[in-house]
This record gives sequence, C-alpha cells and structure tokens, in this order.
Amino acid sequence: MDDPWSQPAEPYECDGSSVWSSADEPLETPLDEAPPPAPPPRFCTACGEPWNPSWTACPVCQARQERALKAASEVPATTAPLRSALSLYFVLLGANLIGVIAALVSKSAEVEIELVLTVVFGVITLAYVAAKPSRVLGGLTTFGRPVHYLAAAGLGCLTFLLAAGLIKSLSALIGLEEITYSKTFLTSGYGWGTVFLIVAIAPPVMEELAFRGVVLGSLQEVLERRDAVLVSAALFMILHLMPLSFPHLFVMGLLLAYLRLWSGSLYPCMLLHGVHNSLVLLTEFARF
Amino acid sequence: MVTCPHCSVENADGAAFCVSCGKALPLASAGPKVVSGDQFATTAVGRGLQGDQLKKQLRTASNTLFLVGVLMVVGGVVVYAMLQNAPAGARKLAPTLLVVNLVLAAIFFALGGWARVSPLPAAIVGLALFLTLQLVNAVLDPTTIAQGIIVKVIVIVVLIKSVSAGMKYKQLLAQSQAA
Repeated sequence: MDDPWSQPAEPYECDGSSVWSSADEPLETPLDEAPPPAPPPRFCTACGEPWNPSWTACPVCQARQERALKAASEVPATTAPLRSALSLYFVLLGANLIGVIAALVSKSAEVEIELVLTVVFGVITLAYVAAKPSRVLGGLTTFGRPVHYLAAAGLGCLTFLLAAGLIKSLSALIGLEEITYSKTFLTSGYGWGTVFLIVAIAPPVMEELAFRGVVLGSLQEVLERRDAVLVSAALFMILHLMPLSFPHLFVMGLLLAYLRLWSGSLYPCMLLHGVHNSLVLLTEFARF
Repeated sequence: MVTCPHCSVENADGAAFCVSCGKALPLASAGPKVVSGDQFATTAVGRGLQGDQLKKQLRTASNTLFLVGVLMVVGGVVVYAMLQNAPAGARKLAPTLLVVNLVLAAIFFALGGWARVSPLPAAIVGLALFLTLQLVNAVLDPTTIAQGIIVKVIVIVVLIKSVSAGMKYKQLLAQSQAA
C-alpha cells in the first residue's frame, strides 16, 4: 500500500511559475473593493449566550443590566438627605448672621430686622419643605392622640422651668444682665400681640417644621434613629447662637425629637414649643 | 481587533466572548483590578480593607474634636487674662466670654468622646458647631478671621473628610449587605 509518509519526498524546485500568470497582471481582487459583509453573530460578545438571528439586542445582557440597576437603586445612604439637612441649617444660620450684621449696623431698626428675620426664616423653611414634601408630610397629616398633647403641655412647662433655673443661675454666676425677648418690641411701640406672634407662635411652628420636620426626617434616612435625634437636637441648640442657653435648648431638642417620633406628628411638638415660649413671655409680662 | 484563540475568527475590540464560537476571549488587561477612590471593592476581602481605611479616617475626627476642645480652653483662659488689663467695659465681658469658651470646649470634648463610638454624627455636629463659631466670630470681629487661619482650615477639612468617610462607610456596609 502506498504510504505517502514512507516514500522519500520528491525534491520540489521552484521554477518561477506561480498562481498568477504574470506578476505584472493586476490582482484579481482589487484591494479597494469593500470587504465581504460580516457573517451574522452566533454568540453575544458581551455574555457568550447563543444569539438568535431575530434579535437586535441580547435579552440576557438586558435582563442582567436591569437587575444591577434595581440592586443599585435599593442601596440606601446617598448623601442627598445629609446635604439637605446641613444646607438648611447653614442657610438659616446665614440669615441669622445677616440679621446680626444688620442690627450692628443700624441699632434703631432692631425690631424691624427681627420681624423681617422671622418672615425670612419661615420662607426658607417652607422652601425646603416644598422641595421634598414627603419628608414632612407624614408629620403634618398625622395628629397623634390626646396623650401626646397632654405630654407636650407638661413637658413645655418643665423645659421652661429648666430654662429659667439655668439662665438665672448662670447669669448670677457671671453677673450678666438677663436678656428679655419683649423689651425691644415694647419700647419701639409694638404691642403684646405682635410680641406674642413673633415669640410664641411663629418660632414654634417654623422651627418644628425645620428641625423636627426637614432636618430630623432627612437625618433619619442616613443615620440611626438615636443619632438622628441627637444631631437634630444639637443643630437646633447651636442655631440659637446663645451659648448660655445651650444646655436647656439641647434638652428641649431631644424632648421635641422624641415627641415627634412617639406621636408621629409635628403638632404636639409645636404645642410644647409654644407653651415654653409663652411661659417665657408671661414671666416678662409679669415683670412689667 | 482581537483574534479568537479557539477558532481564529476576528472579533471587535472590547468583545468578551467570540462572536463565532461563543468562547471567552483573552482580556486586554489580565491581572489585579485597581479600584479607584470612588469605587467600592467587589470582594468581601476588598471591602474589608476599604472599611478599615475608612475607619482610620474616622478616628482622626475624634482626635480633631478633642484638639478643638483643648484650643478653646486655652483660648478662653488667654482671652480672660488679656481682658483683665482692658478698660472696664470690656473687662465686664470677661467672665461671660470665659464661661462661653468653657461651655463650648466641654461640648467639643463630649463630641470627641462620642466620635470614638459613633464617628459620623459626632463629626457632623462638630463640623456644624465649628463652622458656626468661625462665622459668628467673623461677623462680630472680622479682624480675627486671619488669626490661626491655618489651624481653622485644617480642622474644617479634617471634619469634612470625616463626614464623607463616614457616609462612604455606611454605603460600603449597605452594599455588602445587598451583595
């Protein structure tokens, strides 16, 4: 049997002949012709799944992408809520400081500045509420139970006593004259009605919306409950810019935050705050 | 163009699997994957390492807050001593200023202690309080802005970094739970 491998190979000599009849003849396939169309894909180049000719896109890859997007959207703790809470704090602080500068510049317009500041505070707070109502809406549409309001009234008296006691002892310690909230208003000719509005109505409503509403609501999205309460109380305390009032303001902030969480509503908080501020005004009223 | 080692068909750049035989193509960069600062590691070990690094950044928050407390005590005492030689009007404020500085120092010490346990909320409050103090001082006496400006900037930068490290750590934890 002929075994091609056992036979010696015949020497092959290159005789100059080639496939082409002549090297000078043009190539049969010119190089500038368009390349033949690519064969249809048989596998997806991204995931290796067999490709159905009727597809325009790989459904396996698409399904995988959708699952990844869903998982990514479920991961909590973006920085947006923290930025919201801190930016509200600093905007309110900025407004406060502008008021301080204005008061330093024109001593006679102190009362008017205070009035404007109250309005500005309210507008800023409402803007933040409107930006993401979902954070605050729960607290405004829930009303809590009577026990919450009773607790609020009682705690408001307690915080007032705490504040009065602390301020008195600290003032005696350092020999500082006690500040009053109503004096400047009354000496400028405004009545107790205005004073009541500016001290006992507006701040309770607006500060609760801001701190127990926006700030506490936002912080709860990024911090644990206890940490959110502590931070919101601390920010509430610092914003008042009265270091001597810090101790009772912090306690108040804690009580207000826990009341908000216990009752699920902002209204008991507004009551506590309103009772506290009203009692402060009452003692000033009694003195005059 | 990438040539498939199994069937020799040409594939487009960036293809992970051969379009003709479906087998995996060699990657352009084989070897360890470098995770940049914004990304999260994909393996449990990698996440552990990132977590440790973030925790170290959070440690500096606690030390910074303690440092600010010390500076406030020192500053308060110095101001009190200086005001003893000032005219009567300013001297009257001396006890108030001292008490204020001591109250603030106490708050920073408390924040420093809190930061050892819960660094993120402590850093947030510390940052808000420190920035507030600087802003109030700047408004009441603009000439003091430049005093110790380097220290002030360093404290602010460290606290901001701590807050963002804390947020990243939370996201890292959330991601590893979701994975």
